[in-house]
Amino acid sequence: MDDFAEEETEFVVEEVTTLVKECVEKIVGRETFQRQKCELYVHRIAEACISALARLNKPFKYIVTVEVAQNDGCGRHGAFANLWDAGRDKCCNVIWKNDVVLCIVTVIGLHI
Amino acid sequence: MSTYQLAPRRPFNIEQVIKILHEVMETHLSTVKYEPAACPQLCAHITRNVREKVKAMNFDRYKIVVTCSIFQKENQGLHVGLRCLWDPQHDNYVSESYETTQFIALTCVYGIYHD
Repeated sequence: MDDFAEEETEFVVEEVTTLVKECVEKIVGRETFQRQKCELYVHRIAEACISALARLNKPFKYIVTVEVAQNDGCGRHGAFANLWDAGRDKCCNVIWKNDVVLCIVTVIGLHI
Repeated sequence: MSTYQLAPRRPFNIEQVIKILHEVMETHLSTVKYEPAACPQLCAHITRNVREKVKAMNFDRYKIVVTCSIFQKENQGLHVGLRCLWDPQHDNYVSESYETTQFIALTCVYGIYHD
């Protein structure tokens, strides 16, 4: 009973990762890289992720950043530093790619 | 213990944080060449530096998240977007980019009020 109640108020990284991958798969899927559609992908993926996270009904504020790039092997490096509640606040990074498109979604969940 | 505080006494100030971002990125990136091995540590330095300076501004009851990304420039297309589910009255963010011939660095600072 306690575990069930805890999961309802926890940021579960696996759950969020699966959710994000489903959103990206649905929107980008098997499409080839089209420069003019990039901005559209970014907006749609971000909207879809935020809506799906809101439907989880957990007491979190969410920040979703989406990077869509051509998958041509160029370098990308990232880091982050936080001042937050180390026990409850979490971040998850999801990398989705096919032959031509690279999509990196970062979800930051902050407990309220 | 409840303080009955409804709003931050010192809200997240965008202008002050942008100055910090600009200064830190200029200091760390102005003389740097793109090196894949050195980039992760460079990103980490930038984020820690920004976090310490923003923390020193003492924004009342704010959680601070700093992210830094460095992208190698290889004539590829890149788009970045952001969506948030937060309190638009008290929460905010600032982002700053720094571009050279070899790379683009993008740093964001998010200030999230904790009731």
